[in-house]
Amino acid sequence: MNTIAFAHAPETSLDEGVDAFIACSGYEERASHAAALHSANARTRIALAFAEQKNHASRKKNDRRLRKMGFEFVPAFGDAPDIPQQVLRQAIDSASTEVPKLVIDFSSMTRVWLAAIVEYLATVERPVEVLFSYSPSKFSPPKHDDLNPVHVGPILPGHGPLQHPSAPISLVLGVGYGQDEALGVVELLDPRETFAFVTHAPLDRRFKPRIERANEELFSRVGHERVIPYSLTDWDSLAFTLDSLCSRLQFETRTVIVSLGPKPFSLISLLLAQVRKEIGIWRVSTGPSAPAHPRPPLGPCIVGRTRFTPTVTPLRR
Amino acid sequence: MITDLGLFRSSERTFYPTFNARMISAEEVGHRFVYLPQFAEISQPEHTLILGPRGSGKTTLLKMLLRPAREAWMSRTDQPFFDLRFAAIYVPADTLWVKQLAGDSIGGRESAELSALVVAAFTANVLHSMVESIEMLGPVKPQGEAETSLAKELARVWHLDSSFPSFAGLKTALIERLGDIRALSSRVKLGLHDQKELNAPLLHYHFVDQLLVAISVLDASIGEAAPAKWAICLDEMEILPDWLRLEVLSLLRSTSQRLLFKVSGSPLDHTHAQAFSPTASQPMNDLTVVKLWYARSMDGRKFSRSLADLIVREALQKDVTAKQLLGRSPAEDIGPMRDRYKPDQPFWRTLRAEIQRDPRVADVCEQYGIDADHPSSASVEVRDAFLRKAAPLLLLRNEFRNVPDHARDMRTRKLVTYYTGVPAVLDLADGNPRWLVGMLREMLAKKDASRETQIPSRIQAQVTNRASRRYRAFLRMLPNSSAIIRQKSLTLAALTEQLGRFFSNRLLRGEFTLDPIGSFWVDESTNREVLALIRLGVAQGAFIYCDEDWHTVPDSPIRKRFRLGFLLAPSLKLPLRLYEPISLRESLRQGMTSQLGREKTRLSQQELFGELAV
Repeated sequence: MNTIAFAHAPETSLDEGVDAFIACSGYEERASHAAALHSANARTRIALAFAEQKNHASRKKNDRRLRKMGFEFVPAFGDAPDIPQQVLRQAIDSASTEVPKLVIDFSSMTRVWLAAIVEYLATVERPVEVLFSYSPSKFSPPKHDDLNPVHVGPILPGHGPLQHPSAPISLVLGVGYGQDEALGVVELLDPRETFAFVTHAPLDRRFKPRIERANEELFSRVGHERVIPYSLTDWDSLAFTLDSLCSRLQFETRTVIVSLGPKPFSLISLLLAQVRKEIGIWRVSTGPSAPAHPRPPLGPCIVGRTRFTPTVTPLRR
Repeated sequence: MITDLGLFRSSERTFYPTFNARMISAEEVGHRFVYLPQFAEISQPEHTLILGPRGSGKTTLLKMLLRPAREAWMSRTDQPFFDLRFAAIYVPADTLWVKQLAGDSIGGRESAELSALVVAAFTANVLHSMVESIEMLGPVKPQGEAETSLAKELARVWHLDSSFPSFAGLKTALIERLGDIRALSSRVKLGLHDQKELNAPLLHYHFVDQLLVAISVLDASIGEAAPAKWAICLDEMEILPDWLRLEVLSLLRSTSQRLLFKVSGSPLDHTHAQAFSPTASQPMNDLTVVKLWYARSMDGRKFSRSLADLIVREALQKDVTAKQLLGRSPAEDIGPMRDRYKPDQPFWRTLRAEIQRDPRVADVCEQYGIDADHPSSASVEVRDAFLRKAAPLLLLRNEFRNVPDHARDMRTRKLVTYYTGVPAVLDLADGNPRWLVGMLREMLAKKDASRETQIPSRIQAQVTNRASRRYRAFLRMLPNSSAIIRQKSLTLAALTEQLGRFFSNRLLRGEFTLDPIGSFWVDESTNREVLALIRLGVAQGAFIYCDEDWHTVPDSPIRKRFRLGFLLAPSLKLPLRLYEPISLRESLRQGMTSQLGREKTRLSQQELFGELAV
């Protein structure tokens, strides 16, 4: 098991020469945003190409842009963890530096891909430095209020602990703007305690009323002291708060984190779960038939610098 | 930083007040137990299948078989003592456990290696429960040297590496085993395991064998004081993967005389057909089937009323009943007996208003010989029957006509009060203690602020509307609750809503009748994907199975009658009664708009019932 050191980094760090820049191509307009701004100095460029929804207009545009920048395309299904891990292995194995350095733009990746990447990095047998890059998107309204989950469960097969079912459940939610989506998770898992993490100052102000409306019933049930605001641009504080909370919950309950909102919450949760093995991370997936959101990029990329080192020590930042 | 957020200052507060019996001690379950006749049935020394939707009290009944629960109950009741002729082993499970245990292998069996790991983890869970049961043996529980010696022997026969020879040490070792199994499972899934690891003995022991060995060890330890039989109480069986559920159900046919199985499950579980087919077993001879749901609201009221009174008394610390606290439901509030048929009573005023709006109401009155201006002119039998049937329907029409859809939003003050008072609040819960206790506690919490004797109907309406909304959110989030039919999506939530709209439109806008349509039976031609959603809906209380006479363990929804769960009623504008059936095909004759709400995703009748059907 590797030590994971994590800290927020400036956007300019993406321009440092890296061994590989790993992005993805899908229908989200932001998929090629970070690559367009910051992949020029990368020695290798790889794009995980969604095997689904290939004919969407913005997908074709992303393909064209990334191809023009010299990206190599590797097709993969959104719910399959093996291809991202193979891509990562290849990128690390072929790196010329002693400590391979990668940029991973996870803005448009599925949570399965992100989990597979973090899981692989946590077990790789050499130090690796990764700059995780996230491009926030402009607001686009949900296509419909009815969720159609095809998967509600561990983020990856075999992920998370197997604890005795007599212990009560603590549920930590990263809430999004799907109508009553988080509330449904609470009802499904019947936790003793629920904590809801919510972005307090979304970069696009239109998100806020939508999030509040979608989670009105949840917030009322959970109580204000358990609705925990976080900043989408301050990953250090988010990591600290989440770590502190989970450290308190671990002794009494089975802790499960369900990320429904912005992906940085998923990233921080996944990194934490590699250190705190008592945490389970779940995902709710609407599957490939879900309607496509354009999700145009909003502006600057948010970056976290992570170093994976093969030793057994607790999380330090 | 954390204390600034106030996370830990109120750690005792639980915002979803848990009334899940799995999470509370056996003693506490006993202290709050409200007697159900079904308890006598499951207390018999026989294999038992307890069928009921989620939250119907299966866990409570199973936990009541534990000695501390029975003792706690006996200490406050005058019921005859249930001296069981077996010791119970309560084996818990929940969605989190099963999903972590078996991932997505709910439908089919995974690889042989992963299946062996799932069985090994299940076994560790059962053995953990066995140790807990030994600790609950009361006066005959081994203590001191006897405990050390028994723990050592159990660790040996269960191949546990236990450094502390005690019951606590055994449980710790079994939890460690769960961790080891999980780690191996992850390595297997990632292809990082060594084949030798899969040959470890612990992966090849079955829990029944391990239990029988443990029983022998215990017999040797405490001799004749040892229980003659052990009942393995397997909770939440319906959420286990099919293959594991079948494996466990098959044990009801062939195991030791020392073991009994008390298994909770869902009505219409399709694995029952395989497990209890005539060739496999004689289901009604060697198996007691206990039913924990109520087709008619009246049937569940006695239990619900007792439970509600208990909760209210506990909360207020005085002798107040739920009816005193909540008042009478509008649909039942038809005036005192002596004034009931006076023309100025609210019901008759409503009736006259309805006659003005809808001449078809007058036709029905004429048919019954009722004169709305002179109600007493009809015979007592006729007017009683009319009033009993007409009141809930007319009040529903009247109330929803006066309250537009948007006004039912909880932010507005104008709320539908039809679903308030007793018995409406009791009926909404559909005999489900978890829902009933949840709603009552929420109302009681709000009562403190209002300082009124009775909880205002406005607050009750907020709570019942919210409960209905949460339940719909839950239905949308259920795993396996969506089906794909010819590349179009159909969800359980959409199916319940479509049926609800159909019944509601007929009731509120259709021809007025005292015997309206309000339930459905399932056509033989129904698509198998729709049948699977109906099964899931039955397991989760969205559909209530209404056939009274069944003599075999039911397994298929076909030709069976259902109604929508009453907790959906406030959202879907439905009454709280069982009404006449119609075929599912007829109720969906316009087809179904599937979840995305776009024309191209509309499911036609042919797709729902046509040539794709089984």
